[in-house]
Amino acid sequence: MGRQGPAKSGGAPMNPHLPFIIGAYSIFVVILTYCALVPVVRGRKIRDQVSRYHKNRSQHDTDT
Amino acid sequence: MNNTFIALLRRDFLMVLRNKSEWLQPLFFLVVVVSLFPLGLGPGPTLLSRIAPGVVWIAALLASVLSLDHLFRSDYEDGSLEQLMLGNQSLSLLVLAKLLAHWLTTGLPIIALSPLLAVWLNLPMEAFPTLVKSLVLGTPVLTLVGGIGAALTVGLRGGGQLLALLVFPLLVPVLIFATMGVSAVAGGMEATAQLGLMFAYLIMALTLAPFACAAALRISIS
Amino acid sequence: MKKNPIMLFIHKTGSPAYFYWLSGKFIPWLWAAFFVLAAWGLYQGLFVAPTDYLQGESYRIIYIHVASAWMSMMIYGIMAAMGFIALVWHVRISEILMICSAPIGAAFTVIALATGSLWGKPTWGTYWVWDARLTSELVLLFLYLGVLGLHAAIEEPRKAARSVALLAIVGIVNLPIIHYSVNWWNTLHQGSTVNLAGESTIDISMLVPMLVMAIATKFFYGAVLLSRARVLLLTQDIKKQWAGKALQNPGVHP
Repeated sequence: MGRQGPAKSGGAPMNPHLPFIIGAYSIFVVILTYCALVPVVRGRKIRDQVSRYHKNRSQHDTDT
Repeated sequence: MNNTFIALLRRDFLMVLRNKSEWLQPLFFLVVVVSLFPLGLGPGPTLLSRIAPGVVWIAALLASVLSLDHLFRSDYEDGSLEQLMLGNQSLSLLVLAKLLAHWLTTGLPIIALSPLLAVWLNLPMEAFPTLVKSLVLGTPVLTLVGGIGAALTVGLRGGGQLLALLVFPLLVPVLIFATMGVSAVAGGMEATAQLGLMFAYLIMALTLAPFACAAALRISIS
Repeated sequence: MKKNPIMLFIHKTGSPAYFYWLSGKFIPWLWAAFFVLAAWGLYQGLFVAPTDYLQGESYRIIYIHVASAWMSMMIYGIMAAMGFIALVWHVRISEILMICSAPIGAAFTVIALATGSLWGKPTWGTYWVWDARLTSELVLLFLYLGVLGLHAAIEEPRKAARSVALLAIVGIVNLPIIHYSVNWWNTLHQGSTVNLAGESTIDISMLVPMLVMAIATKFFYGAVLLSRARVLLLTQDIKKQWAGKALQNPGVHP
């Protein structure tokens, strides 16, 4: 089947292709995670801003 | 409408002619860039003749795109571009006039200089006509498609470099067909297919680019 | 006048408040679909599918390489379509969806190039091969960079969107021609190696996980696109009433 055991530092033979596979999948995960997190981080900031702005406004409205 | 076209064409053409550096500089650039290749890669004639089509065409691409930046810029800065847009003439036609003037002052000189460059790079003589044909078919496309980029970036700070970034990927087909055609003839084969494709691409650019250019101007200057 | 429900729906999504609310409902489902499909696809692809006779284990990279390459092209097409709608019908949501698609598409293009390179090394011996697919992907990356660069260079957001829309349309018109010319260039300049994808027909046990990953990445794109679109909408409409209301009463139909 071609399945290899878990990579051990000095023990069982490691498939020579493994670093490439790990590298490729890591790039996939890292880039897509970053892509997905950007709106989350920005979203928190913006939602804070919007809430603050509208709270201030409604305070002003009730004050006047 | 015809009168405005001719008038604009004449005005742009003469403006470039009078300002000698505007049409001489791209040529000097072309010549210097081409000569860098033997200097950088060694003077071996076989290597040079193999890379000749690519080098001439890449240099032509660079020289053309560099001179595109001031296609609309000076008119934009002194307000005459807006005047043109406010008039009741078809903007696409007027844009075509400016593009034609640009090609006459950039593309034509490149075509005229190409035999010299071909000799420098040891291109086989049989391929000279094909090189010229490819430039005749290709340099207008450089101006037409480049004009769209120039219209999108007129007035922007990033200016010339951004224009190059926008335009180079779009010109990849022209580069590929032209260089493959010239290489084919240099290798003793025919280039009818490549030149035919370049002609088709030219027709497409000629019909679509002025409209895209005009639309881009309307967006950029609104 | 006949009120077609589809037209009604399209009309409603034009309203920022409605779009914000509706997309918020969709996003969790899109994420769920992505994780389920990706988990199954990756498990099948990495552990169940057999080793390739010719390429050994490294072929397993195709599960993410092919999906990413397809996404990079599909997203550019969607971007251009959104741009067309924005230019012709002045639909603001289209502008927003177009702008938000660009970085995602560029990300997939970079992944396709990087995974292609890492696949090439064990398979063909070099980290880069100017084969038709990789070269086309590289030109596509340049097209994305142009879109991102142009958008960043223009300050006024709606003007930036319209410029980018035009550029995307010009790009999509050129894209088939670029593909064709690169293909031709590649076949004629046949160097030492050719197609990374390989000519052999692919085994079904390898094909299914590949297609599943391709579908999974579409859900990823949908989820991230809608997230980014909501954030961009809020950013542009901080002071608008609908924004305040939407945040005060989240989940409530506007």
